[in-house]
Amino acid sequence: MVPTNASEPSTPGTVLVEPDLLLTCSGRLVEVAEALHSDATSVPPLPPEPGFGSGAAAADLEADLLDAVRGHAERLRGTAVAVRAAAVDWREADETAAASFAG
Amino acid sequence: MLSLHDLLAADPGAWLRRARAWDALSHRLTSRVDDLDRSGIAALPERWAGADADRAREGNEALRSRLVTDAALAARAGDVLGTHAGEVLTAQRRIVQAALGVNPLLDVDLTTGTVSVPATVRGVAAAVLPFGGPALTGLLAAESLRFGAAVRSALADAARSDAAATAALRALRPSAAGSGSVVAPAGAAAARAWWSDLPDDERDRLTRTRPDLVGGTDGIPPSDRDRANRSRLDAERSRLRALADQLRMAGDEGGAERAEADLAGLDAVHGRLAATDALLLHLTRGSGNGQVVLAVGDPERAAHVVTHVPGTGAGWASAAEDLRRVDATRDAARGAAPDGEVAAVLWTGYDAPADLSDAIDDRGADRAAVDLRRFQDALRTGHDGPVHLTTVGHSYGSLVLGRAAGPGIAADDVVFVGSPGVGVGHASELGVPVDRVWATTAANDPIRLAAGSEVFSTSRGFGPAGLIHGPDPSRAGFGAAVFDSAPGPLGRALADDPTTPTDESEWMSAHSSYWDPGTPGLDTIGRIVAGTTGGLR
Repeated sequence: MVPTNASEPSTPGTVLVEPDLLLTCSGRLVEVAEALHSDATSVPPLPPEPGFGSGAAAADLEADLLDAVRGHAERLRGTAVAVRAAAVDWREADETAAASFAG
Repeated sequence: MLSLHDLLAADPGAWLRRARAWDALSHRLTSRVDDLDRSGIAALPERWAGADADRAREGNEALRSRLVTDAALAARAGDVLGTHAGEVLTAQRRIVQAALGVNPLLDVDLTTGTVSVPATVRGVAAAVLPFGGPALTGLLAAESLRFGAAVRSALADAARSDAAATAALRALRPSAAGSGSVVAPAGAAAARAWWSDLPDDERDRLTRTRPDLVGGTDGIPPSDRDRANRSRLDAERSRLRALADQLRMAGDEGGAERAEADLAGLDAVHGRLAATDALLLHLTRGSGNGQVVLAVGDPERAAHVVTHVPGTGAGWASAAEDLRRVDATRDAARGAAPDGEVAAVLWTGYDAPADLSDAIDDRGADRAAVDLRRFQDALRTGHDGPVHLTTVGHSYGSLVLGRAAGPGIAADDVVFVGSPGVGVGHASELGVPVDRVWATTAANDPIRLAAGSEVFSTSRGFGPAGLIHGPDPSRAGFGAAVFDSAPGPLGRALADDPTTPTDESEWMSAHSSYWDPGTPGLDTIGRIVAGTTGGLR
């Protein structure tokens, strides 16, 4: 099965799929998601300094920021799963359709 | 209100490292955005078309936008914190410079921010100079004024910088959710239930933003407390290193030596955590010598758990020696019960008296007793199945233990070692069965002979055998099971015996020799901890 490749820009209503490229892209998205997760653990905790309000403010800000980065990693991982699913679904649908022509 | 102590104890170097970590995070997030944009890295295939492709691109574009925003936020926060660290460092340096500028005839105390005339200078001036006294008074007044003004100015600048940085960091926060007002419920069991009901991410967040709360709450599982307290340990060691350098630079040699002694104790704690299966259950500066609670072994699963409560002078600086005694106790117990796992806890979870004169006051023991009871409750309620709990109080620690045990304590056996009295008149007044109360005092331990103890005991209505905090628990009339200890060194030896851990050249060395290996007292404590006391009474 050769995936449908468009040689010219797509137009509205046109469906163009390159499953091999999508699978490769999915793998790379997972790698970026893992890198983001690693980024979130790269900042060591620092307890707030007594007497300084800035210590607590810094700790709160940092926790928010790292929560957000972990959230980005999860969303990207979700995108990677969906991209992979799109490629797999298209192949299955294509093979099913091809089989129906066999008889 | 920022105090001089807070300012000098702060570690702006650590804030600068944090600012750099945020800046590095900003660069990493920018790099991830580039990855998402770059064809052939992680960009969606350009020719992919259709409703699914459109939705995927929308999602990635939204994510890209959030990453760009967060990268900018991290960079801006790093700028704010870095500037603040620089300003606080400048304020610290101004105080050091002001201290160095004080006339060398005078002493500067950076703990209190005061200038004084040393007794030797006062004596020499009065003897040699006709107007030495008044001249010194004038010099002191002028220097106090100048130094005081410099301190106030530096403090005001540091406080302004703190307020500005706090406001700027709060304004940058992407969400209003916070953890500043979180309070754990009272009681070990309630705290444990509260903690276990929190979602994982909230527990992680609290560990990062409120390590004091997580690390210091009895009832939260030891492994979670350990994680929070280790970050505090690293921060305190870094701070003490900087503080010692700063105090030495300012000419406060005594202050620098105290900071270095505390650092040496925390280094010993750090080494212990790295070397064995130990858990750091509490760490705080407190308002005295520093508080630390460390468990060796698994306090949630060991069949026997002993809590060692040290006395006068205990704190961060004494941690190495206190840990040695905890190890000696655990080794003795394991020798007595080879089949039973033993965990041993150093519990310096209170502000121990700094010296013998402070140890006359029993109010500190009352405050500590509440905390010790709660800690013991947490050991019992958090344990995986039945456990045999022993608590050993040494010196002033025995008073803390007596006060804790009075209303009842989660301990099967209590042991008083080298006690100045335990705050009750008889073993039957403790909330544990009389036959589970144990006591020993070495024959040469000066705690039983301390001059003045009879005066205090008489004024408090105790009998002739009374010590400063009540009857001697190692005398027959108290009702405890008394066991022998080695007599210990008599008086002050000329030199230390290097074959024993105790320093015999110290005048109270017999008071510290209970944990010397192979001594009968230590063997008995081991048997009590291991629950193999048959034939002891």
